[in-house]
Amino acid sequence: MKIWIFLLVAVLWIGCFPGCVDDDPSTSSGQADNSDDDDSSDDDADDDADDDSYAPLFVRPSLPINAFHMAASHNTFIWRGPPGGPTTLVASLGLIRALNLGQLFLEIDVTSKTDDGDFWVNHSETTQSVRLSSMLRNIRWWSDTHADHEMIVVGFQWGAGSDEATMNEFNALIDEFLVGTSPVSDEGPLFSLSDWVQEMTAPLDEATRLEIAALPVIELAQVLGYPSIAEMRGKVALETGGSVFSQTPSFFQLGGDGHFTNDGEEALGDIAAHTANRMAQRLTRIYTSGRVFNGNYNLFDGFRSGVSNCALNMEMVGTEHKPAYAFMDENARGYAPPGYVETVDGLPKRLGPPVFVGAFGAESERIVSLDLSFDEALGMTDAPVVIFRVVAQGIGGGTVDSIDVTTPGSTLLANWQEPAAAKLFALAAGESGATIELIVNGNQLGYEVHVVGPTVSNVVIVGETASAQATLWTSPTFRSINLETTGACATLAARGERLFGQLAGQRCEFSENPSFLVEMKSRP
Amino acid sequence: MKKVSVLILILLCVSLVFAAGAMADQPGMVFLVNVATPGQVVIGQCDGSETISAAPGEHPFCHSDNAAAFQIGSAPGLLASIDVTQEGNFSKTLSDGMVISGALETVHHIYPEIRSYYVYIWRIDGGAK
Repeated sequence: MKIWIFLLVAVLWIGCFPGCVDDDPSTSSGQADNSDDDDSSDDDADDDADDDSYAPLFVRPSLPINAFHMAASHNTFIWRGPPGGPTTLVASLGLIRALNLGQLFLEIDVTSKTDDGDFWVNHSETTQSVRLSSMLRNIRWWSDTHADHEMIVVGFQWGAGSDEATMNEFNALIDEFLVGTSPVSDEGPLFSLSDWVQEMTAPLDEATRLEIAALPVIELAQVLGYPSIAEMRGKVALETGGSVFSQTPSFFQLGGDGHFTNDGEEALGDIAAHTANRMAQRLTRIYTSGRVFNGNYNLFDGFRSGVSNCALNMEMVGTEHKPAYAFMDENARGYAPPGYVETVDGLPKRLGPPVFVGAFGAESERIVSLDLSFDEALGMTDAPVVIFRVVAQGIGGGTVDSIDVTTPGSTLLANWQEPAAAKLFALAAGESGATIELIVNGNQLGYEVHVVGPTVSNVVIVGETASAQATLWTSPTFRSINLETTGACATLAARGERLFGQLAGQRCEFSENPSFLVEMKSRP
Repeated sequence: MKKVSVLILILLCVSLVFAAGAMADQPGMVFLVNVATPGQVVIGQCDGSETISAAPGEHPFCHSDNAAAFQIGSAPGLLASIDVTQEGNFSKTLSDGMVISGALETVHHIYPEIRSYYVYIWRIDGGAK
């Protein structure tokens, strides 16, 4: 009998204190163990890894959000305790804690309506309950008090019905807390999909604009792509299922439109399904179901399976745990570059759209041309227009004078100067290629350029080009233009320290983190 | 094996009943959540209980029989009453000119009539820092 009481107490203890588990597997001196690595004044004396250096531009904020993994949470309304029962604490504090830990995606279970136009948030009606309005109010406070925060996506497990009257009540709450005024700001942070599409396509003719605006989300992503990390800063977006979507348009749509919904860990092994989803340039979200006590995803399995949003139960993790540290790049916290991604035979190892990266030397002002090829099979067949994004910047400084398309009939859709020079262009439907002309002012180290678009199939630098003097750190899933690897890699260790080492098969040595960068240099 | 499972389930239920009983003895817990940035220490006081102090990032709590009489402030002599049962935004001006703003949240327990209250401090303006 005593042994069973002991076992019960042990199980309850483990369940109540999941954050205390030490999951740092490091035991050897050559591996990252950053709780005490840097106790020597000589950084490399500890583990031969230069872990207080910083890989520049670990995440590229000018690239689309679906080119990166995103930090995502599950049952975020629970801030402490097991996922059900009287000891589970439900409060906005769970959302606040997740946001403070750099999570981008918050998941809220809405189970029923109140009798006064609000909704109850709880876990399968087995826990405490909080009004949805209160959670939205506190999300708004967090957004208002963290200027230019990274994108927040609020997703729901919706169990309160989706008839028109219910959706009107839901939309009224969204309007009140995410659109209207607050004690701090006059304008709400809600990301409006229709406004973004309208803004991006405004320079196009009316017929094409209307055709794009009418596309379902899955096809919109294959034509227009997703917004960049930088464009989404300061915004709060909604993720909704199909029925809610019809009332509340949102970019992040769940359900039978390419996302996985509420799948268990076994879904991580379905590489074929994940590959198909990624090839369709969709975001993939998986979160655990039926887990109790301190069970949680191995986030790194999600990374390797090519899941963009692998959601964690945040009440079970702390900053010292690997679920959090993969996303601790200070350049764009909450995002992680894809390193190793499994795929099925014959299909590329990329997370979202094809991303091309190249570099060239330009010590003084010069013009560089790029030839782009498009393959409509990558995106939506018979798309009304061909759209792509070009991003250029000096390595470690140096300005870009202009980015232009010399192909006749091109349209400039958007133009950004920060955080890098970037432009979004459109070409007529069916175009198979385009020529880009970059004018740069000169930079000792050289320049880097990224080209990304739903149907961009190849990019080459035209003519003789000087080599960039500096190397680039880039995701191995990006396709290089005249670059070759040096064999070096960089990754993040616990608490966000950078580790530098050599590629070791499917990982960067010293770390099990499958999110890593490779060092690339210009081909001679 | 079946007996073992049943035994564990019974023990689990007993522990949950004890946990529930313990919570039922505490009709109102008030959490003082200090998430203001930039932050400073905020204090709170449940009816008749000792003062709780919330440094930035902390969320201490006290037990209250009358959550409508919670007090919040920057020092023991600088307190203002706040009815934490009224969900919504709040803004309290203390006698030294400090303004404490934030949101009040009511948590409904699975046992009827039991509530917890969260006082989220989001902003602190003015007053002697």
